[in-house]
Amino acid sequence: MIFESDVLGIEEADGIRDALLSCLENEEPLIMIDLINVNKIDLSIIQLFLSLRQSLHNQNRKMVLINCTNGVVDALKLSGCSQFLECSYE
Amino acid sequence: MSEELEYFNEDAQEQLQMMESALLDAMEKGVNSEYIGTIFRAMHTIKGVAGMFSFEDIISFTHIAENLMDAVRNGKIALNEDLLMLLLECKDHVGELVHCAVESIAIPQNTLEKDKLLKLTIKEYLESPADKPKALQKPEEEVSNSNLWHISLYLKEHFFETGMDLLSILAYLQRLGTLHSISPVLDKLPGLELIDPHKPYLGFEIEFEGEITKEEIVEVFEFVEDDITLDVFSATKAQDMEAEEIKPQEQEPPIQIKPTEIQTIQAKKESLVKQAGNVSQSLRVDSSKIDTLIDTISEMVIANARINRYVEKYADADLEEVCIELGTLLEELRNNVMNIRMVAVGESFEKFRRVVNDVARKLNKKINFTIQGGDTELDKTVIEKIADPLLHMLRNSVDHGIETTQERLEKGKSEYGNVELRAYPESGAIVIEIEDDGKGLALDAIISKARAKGIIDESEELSDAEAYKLIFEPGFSTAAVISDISGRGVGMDVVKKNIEALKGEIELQSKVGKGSCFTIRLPLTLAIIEGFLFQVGHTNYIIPLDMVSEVIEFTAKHRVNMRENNLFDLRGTLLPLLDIRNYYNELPCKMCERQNIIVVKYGRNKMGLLVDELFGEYQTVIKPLGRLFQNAPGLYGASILGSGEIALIFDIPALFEMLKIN
Repeated sequence: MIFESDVLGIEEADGIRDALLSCLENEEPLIMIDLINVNKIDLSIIQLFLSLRQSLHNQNRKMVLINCTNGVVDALKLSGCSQFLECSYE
Repeated sequence: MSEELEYFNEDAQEQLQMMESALLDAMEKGVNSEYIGTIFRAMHTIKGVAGMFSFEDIISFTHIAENLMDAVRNGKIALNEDLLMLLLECKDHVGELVHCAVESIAIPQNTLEKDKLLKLTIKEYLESPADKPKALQKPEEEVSNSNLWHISLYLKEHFFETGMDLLSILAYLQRLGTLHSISPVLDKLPGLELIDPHKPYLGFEIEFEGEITKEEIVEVFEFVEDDITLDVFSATKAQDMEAEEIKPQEQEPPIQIKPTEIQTIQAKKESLVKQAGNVSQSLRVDSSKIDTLIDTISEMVIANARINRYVEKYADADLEEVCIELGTLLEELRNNVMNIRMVAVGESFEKFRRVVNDVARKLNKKINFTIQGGDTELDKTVIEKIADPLLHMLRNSVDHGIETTQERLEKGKSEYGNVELRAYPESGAIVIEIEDDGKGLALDAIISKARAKGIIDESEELSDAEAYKLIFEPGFSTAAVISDISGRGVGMDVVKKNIEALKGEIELQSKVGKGSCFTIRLPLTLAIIEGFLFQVGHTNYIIPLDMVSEVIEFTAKHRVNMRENNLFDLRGTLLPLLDIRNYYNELPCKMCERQNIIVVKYGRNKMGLLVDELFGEYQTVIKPLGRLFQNAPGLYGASILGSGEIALIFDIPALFEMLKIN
């Protein structure tokens, strides 16, 4: 799945959770989330990614954030969450 | 402007005001560590909060100013007068940067140039050994003191609703030192099926190193202190090793934390929550919300008065008891809400110190400016509206009132001119006085000037008080030289109008060679007052209760005296008596059995009002008079009684003025 917004924050959290839930419902072993358009994320969104990762972990599935921009990578590093969320660079 | 930005703006203005006060205190009373600390904290706090909003220009400037103050704090640079002046400029400059940031406007070119210039000057201070007093220099190793800290940070349930971005705060923390590690605590994080996206489930254990104290770390999180639980404690190298143990294995949630450590953290968190409960005692509320509350209470007061009428009509004892209780509670509620609006004048007065200081410097005069009664409380609206008139009068005092240093020395006065601004309560009003020990105003000069300008006739004879009032006439100025500071003759009449618009009055007393004193009397509040209700003819009237001195019966003896000279004898003192019925052409009240004299006081003066029926104390909601009544003499406003009837509120100061009682 790919996100179109430049900024993902608490205002978008409900919609993003719904979108991630739909990913959880399909049975693909690896879920790829494309963040090429996203330059800024806040902690509420990182928390949703971590939550998805936990749900997938329970189902022996994995996720990866792809095309992460500098803004996203910095946010993940700063929050210490880069160790939990696998991400590939833009 | 968003709520967060408004909060930032208010906080920054508060910090800048404290900085300015500390700088002026340091200039007047000498430098001490308290002032240095205040100036440092102002720059540090503004930088911290600006960091959360990524206001780079503010961060960049306050950072270098903070470095300068840090050097002063550590005794590397002496805080001399030049540096104090530079810091005042820095304070103004930060104020401009904050203004641009909160209004989202581009920084003007001249401000950018100022920014460069100030930074360059600060850099020179930081690099110049000449300004480093040897006695105050400390060995370098004592100054450099890097500390290792462990920070436990947990987000409270409503954190995301605050709109604050924790990542910005962490980014700012990173600037202050080194973030060795940051470990998210995920043990409370549910799976996606159960998560509430608006609720935070995360915590963070952070290892941080920097030349920074615990208090400074806590300050970084000051903006979200109510929405997080925070614990900061010193981490030795050994603790650091233990902290490594609690870091989770790569890719293996959830994190394992030693039970003993969890207990320690939890205990500290609980302690912090308790502390927060004790410390956080203030709440910022939009003043319009309080205004709405006062309006609602005003309507409740009127409704309660209507209920009281029904109680009287139906004589129901139980209902009466409930109504008395309701009335008491309503009065308490009203007083409490009105108190919210009451603000100590000191904070507003402090801002004038800078003006006095700047004007004195510009004129090369030496001034001792003192503020008395800063704790005196006044309605916030009144304080805001009185600020400009006071500013103008203070400028006048320094510019025209106080002599030059040479003139003062020649007259045998101290080289320092004294200007005092004081406030105190008096008879339900607040008195503000501005007194200087300058040259004073010569009555004959005032009168001559007024005649020359055609303000009074050549033949007109005036009392001293009337003559002093001439300076409040439009176009009047006694200054020989018009300066850019004051003395254009367009000020004092505007000052008087502004004060009168607040239902206040101003008077001047002066002695040649000794100085002048402006006295302003202002009502405590503009919304609800405790009134005294009475009737004259068929009209109800109210006087502010604080202005009622006493009430006496109007006797035959009084009547005889009054016919002769409109005076009455109050235990040996003759006071003017105003027959309200005659004055307002009221019809006689057939039902009224007797007439009464209400003795009212205002300042040092007293007079009697001849009235009919007395009803006593009455909670009075002041409503403005319509345009038709704008010019009604001696009336202040109106109030709606419980019966739905209107009562007119007397403007006692205006009555004294109209009757020329002094």
